[in-house]
Amino acid sequence: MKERLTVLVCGGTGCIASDSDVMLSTMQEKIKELGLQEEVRVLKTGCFGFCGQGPIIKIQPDNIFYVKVKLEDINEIIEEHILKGRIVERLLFDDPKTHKKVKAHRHMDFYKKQLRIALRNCGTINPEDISEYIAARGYEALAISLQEYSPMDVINIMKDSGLRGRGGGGFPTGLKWEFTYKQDVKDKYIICNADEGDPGAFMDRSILEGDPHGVLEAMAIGGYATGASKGKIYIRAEYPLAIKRLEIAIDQAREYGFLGKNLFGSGFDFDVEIRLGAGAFVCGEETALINSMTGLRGEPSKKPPFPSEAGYKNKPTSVNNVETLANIPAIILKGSQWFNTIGTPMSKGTKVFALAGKVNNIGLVEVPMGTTLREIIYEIGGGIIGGKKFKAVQTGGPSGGVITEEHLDTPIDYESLKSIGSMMGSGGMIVLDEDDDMVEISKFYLDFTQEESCGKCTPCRIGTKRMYEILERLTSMEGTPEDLDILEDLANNIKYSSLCGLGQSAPNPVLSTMEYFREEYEAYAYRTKKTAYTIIEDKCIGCTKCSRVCPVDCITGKVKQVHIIDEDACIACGACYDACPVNAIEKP
Amino acid sequence: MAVKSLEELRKLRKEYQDTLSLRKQGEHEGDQIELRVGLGTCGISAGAKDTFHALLEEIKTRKLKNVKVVGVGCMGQCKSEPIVEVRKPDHEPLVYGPITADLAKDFIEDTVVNEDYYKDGTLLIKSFEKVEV
Repeated sequence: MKERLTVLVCGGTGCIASDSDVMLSTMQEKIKELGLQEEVRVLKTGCFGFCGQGPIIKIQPDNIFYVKVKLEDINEIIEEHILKGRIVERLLFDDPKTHKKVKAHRHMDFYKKQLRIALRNCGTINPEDISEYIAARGYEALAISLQEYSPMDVINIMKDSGLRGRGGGGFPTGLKWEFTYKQDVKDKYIICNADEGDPGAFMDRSILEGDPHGVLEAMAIGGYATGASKGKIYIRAEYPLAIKRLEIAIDQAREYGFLGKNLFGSGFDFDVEIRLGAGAFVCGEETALINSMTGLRGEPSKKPPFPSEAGYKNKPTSVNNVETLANIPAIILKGSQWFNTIGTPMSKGTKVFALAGKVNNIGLVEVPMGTTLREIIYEIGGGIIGGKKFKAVQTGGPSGGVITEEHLDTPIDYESLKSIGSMMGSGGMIVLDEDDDMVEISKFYLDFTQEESCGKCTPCRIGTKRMYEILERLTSMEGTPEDLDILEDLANNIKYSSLCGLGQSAPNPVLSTMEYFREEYEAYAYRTKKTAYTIIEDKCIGCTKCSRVCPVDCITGKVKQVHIIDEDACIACGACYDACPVNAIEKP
Repeated sequence: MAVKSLEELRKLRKEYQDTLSLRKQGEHEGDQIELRVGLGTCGISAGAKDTFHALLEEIKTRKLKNVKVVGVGCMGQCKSEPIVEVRKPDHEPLVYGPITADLAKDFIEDTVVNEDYYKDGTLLIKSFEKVEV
């Protein structure tokens, strides 16, 4: 019996949260019961990226992509598709634009414009099986580097490729490695920064869960290039699945001799150790990360000296982000020229974004640099949910800002996003629609940063707290117009006087929303903001639906008579708005 | 079992490659030939699964890269089961039956290797287009 079908069940955190792990084991058991284990292989893979449609099950070579699968659907997939070759139509993806069922992922708008380099193995191989990684040309880039290139050759390939740090800063990776390489010191380190902390961002987690060997291989290549024989992965303890898969991968790599002594007979030793962080946002900053790893408080220190001169244990250290590393084996195998042709003049390659918020297609997308926000939101993302009006997109998380309609055609790269007041950041992308309140959005981010401020420098520690208090005052209708000036002044001062990136960028969400949506701040400051829903008398038919759904019972009126909302009691939940059959309710 | 050189690694990759072949075929676009075997109840009882595996075996023996075998639902003409449909890029689909396991070798030879039609078999219909949902 030869294998005739491969069933790939998503094993990413998102799908596991919807029981994909139970589906996997149920399916494996049933296949065994039917005696089909030799011809049908059922395995788990990393994240497919289309998390909004999870759990996802893909069947090859038929190339069928089942979405939103439930445990009770497993039997039908086995009985119909696996045994009888009949596609289970109801589990196919329903295109939000055409309302047609789509069988293969490559015909979905979500995947059409994507180019997967960092995510190349996510959703195709079993992350817990090194033989599958090897079958996908795994560890070949490391072997080639060790056997055919000098460390300086590898650094030059990285420099020529134009790869820049994907953690947000965008520092050229080749240069970073060269600085570390040039330090004439015996012990050096390479650190993988997996302290992904932006709310809503999960690129690094998905890469580590879906392709842990890719990151380990890249770390070994980086170790060889910089002269480091020790690698450390700094990952937050709240990523248990990524940690587990990394541990499995490290054990397997050691067994095959891809980690340890004398790799590929070259005389180069390299091994990797995992260090768990407690999940502080500031520890994503490289000096704070190194302090935390050393056992000190997770606080940043002044640069220079840069980690490439004096980092972990005061030794030259190269700190690279997960997504940056995930690109490296592909660059070695395909060449710097290949990578260099993708992207914009200053930003090469691709970027992974976690697309979330009010878009139809939610998930992880990897696109070439230079793709416009419009393409991401309207083509890949399938537009705004419920056909509502686009308001803005927030990029860069708590360090970034909002981008409005007028800049939607900006090609995304490090420089262009900065020039319009936002930043690439690590890749969070939250789409906001007409219902979102920009003051509340910036308050949300500031609440995050003021809590995550490590407290070492005054501007950040006290400044962000004061900013948050002003926003609190404004949103509870207790602010004054002067508050806006103070807020802006504070924001600028914090930006220019904070010690590290956290404080320097914390005011960005406020500054950018103030620039583009100042009228919303003013509505709060001058207390002209409408906070309650109202009923348009002419339209109301007195059906009583609104008063029945109101959670605070503030709508009164008799059957077939005009209803009235008590504006003081209204909590603006919007339930009446959704319930009204004749659009007689007006938003605040 | 430490891997000691690039050559050893490449040898190992060859050994493991088969595990990914179905997945690669599925993702492949363009010049691929698709053999669709009807796996309805009557197809299976007429031996469609044996045909399926014989086709796979033959493809492996001949190391053919541009062809995949896919199971599909009932083909409709039960008396001619097992039925195999041949889909080549830019060609009208051709439907054959009965194709029993022992015919698999010749079937592959004619349809895939010689890129012709299967001479000894019954050609059921020339076109089997369904409306795509």
